[in-house]
Amino acid sequence: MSPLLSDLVVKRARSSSPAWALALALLSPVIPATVGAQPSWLADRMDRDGPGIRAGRLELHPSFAAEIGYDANVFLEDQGTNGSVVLQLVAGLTLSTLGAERMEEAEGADTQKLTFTSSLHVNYFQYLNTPNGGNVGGDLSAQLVVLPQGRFGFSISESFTRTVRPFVDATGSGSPSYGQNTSVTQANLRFQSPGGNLRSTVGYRLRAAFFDSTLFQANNNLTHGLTSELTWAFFPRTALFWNMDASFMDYRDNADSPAYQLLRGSRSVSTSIGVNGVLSTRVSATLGVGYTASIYEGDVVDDVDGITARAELRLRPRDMINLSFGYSHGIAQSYIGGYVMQDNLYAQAQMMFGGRFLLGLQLTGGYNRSGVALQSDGMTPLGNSLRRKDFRTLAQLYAEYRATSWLAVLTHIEYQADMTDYRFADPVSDMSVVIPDPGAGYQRVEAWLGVRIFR
Amino acid sequence: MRDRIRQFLAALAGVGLAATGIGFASAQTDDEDDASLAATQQVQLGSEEQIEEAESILERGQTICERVGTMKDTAQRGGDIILVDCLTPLSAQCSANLTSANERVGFLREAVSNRDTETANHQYGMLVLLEDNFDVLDGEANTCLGEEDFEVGDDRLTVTEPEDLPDEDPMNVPTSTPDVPVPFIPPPASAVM
Repeated sequence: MSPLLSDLVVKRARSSSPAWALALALLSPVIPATVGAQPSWLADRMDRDGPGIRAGRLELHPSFAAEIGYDANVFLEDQGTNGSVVLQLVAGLTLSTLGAERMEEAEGADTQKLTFTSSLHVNYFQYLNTPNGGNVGGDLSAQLVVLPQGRFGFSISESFTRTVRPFVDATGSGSPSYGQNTSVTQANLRFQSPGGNLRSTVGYRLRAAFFDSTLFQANNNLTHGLTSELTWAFFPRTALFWNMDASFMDYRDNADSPAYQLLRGSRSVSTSIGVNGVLSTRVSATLGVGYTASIYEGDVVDDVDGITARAELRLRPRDMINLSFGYSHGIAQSYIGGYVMQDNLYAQAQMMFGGRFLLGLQLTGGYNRSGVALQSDGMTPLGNSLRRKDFRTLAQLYAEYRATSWLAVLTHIEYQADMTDYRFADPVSDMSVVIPDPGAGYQRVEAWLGVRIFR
Repeated sequence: MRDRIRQFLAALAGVGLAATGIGFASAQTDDEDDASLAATQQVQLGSEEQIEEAESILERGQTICERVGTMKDTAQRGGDIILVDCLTPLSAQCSANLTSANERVGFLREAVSNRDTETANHQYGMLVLLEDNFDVLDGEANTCLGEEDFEVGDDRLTVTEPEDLPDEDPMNVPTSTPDVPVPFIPPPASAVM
């Protein structure tokens, strides 16, 4: 193993972010959040970066990747699917104050009064066999933390994400842009005990989601959120946690939109308590239970409340092998029916062999039930049943071989399916239009192969 | 038979009285004997060592008296009359012992400077006894309301984690779980061709 690659492996082992959390980041659970899948390596920040370039008290991590793949169902159609060869180019740059590894080597990780991390990734998708052609997505994020180890601290962050892959069949409306842009700005105040075992955070979050195309702009929304967390860590490496989130969501442009689904703003509060941490040298777990309630504007969309729960077991049979299994039951905001109740089972595995070969596997299966989904007249069902019910599954395998400390070859295979008999009804407001592909179910297989250069 | 019992009890009483008398007599000279004993035990110390040890005893006495005084003041501010009643005599005794210790340190210095070994040993022995008194007063003060309130003990708990624990920060609680990342958005309608 080369020294640089060895450093990377050590960095991976030292990181405070567990491997399973990376896979969690890959798939956002909130319905309005993420559209389209990111490249596998983008989801795994820890494995993406090399040793970097030091510039004084800053370090840089540039990267570039090119992938070619095949998407068997570009528009997630139920019938008459369109497949396409897809080219993807990704350029990235992260800039941050010195990371924990360099600080430990230099003067100790606890001495920093201020930390700054930022990253920019631009990814260009080119569909070679479908009319939607090319589009540019990416993400930009920055976080500033003042007194990260102090008794009182402050942080502010901004995360902008733009996804461009199709998320629905709009082929009957020409070649619209499927760009969805999401901005999340967060400010937190943190208080902690001198030893850091008791930590409390209160914060404010502003989230904006907006679409490129007028076809989807009715879904543009703005959410103000108040957050609070309390964690208490104890021996050996375990913590009790409590959190609360109050959200105020409003749709911005639904009054002028031709979209026919009924959208209503909501006031939601959710809270949960639980325990997170290590059970033994090979086993750790997260257990939590909570309560969520959402109240919607007007009387058309049903209010909802209920118990939420999650359980996750993480195993580490060997140092570079991480397995996790989990179940979650929750309530999330939805563009259809106001809310969706979700029950998800998942299993994940991530393995590193010889410091060169990374292998990841994820299996997710879930059952979703929306609230009563109506058209914009507030009376007519949006589909062939009052509530949309879906069995959804995702199976993902990704692998990366690091030929050198700066070059990797990667592949990614994914199967995604939504098994539902739900069919969208034609809009009653305008009898001259139809839904080209009313079936909501779909299956998609995609496979990718590429190279990545990183530092 | 009854006479034998009487004789036995009389003998027992006599032995008891004798023991009590001996004890009473010995109590009269306890302090002096203890001082002599302490002096004998410490006689091997050189003059300078005796002075160093005496100053250490004086310093310890000052610490204990200050602590008892602080406890009493705290109790007075808190309006705890029972605790004040318990600590007040102890504080007074501590002050008296401290005054005595201060004087005897002076006498010890003087005796050492005059090369009066016998007097120096005696003063030193008395200081050793005063040290014992300080310890007793310290313990009684703690007993007044329970040691826990003032004896915080070691305020830093040190634990050693196993080296091969999973590399997780339990304070970073994951906020999301995996899902299929496609939102429920209806497809747009198209004009009838």
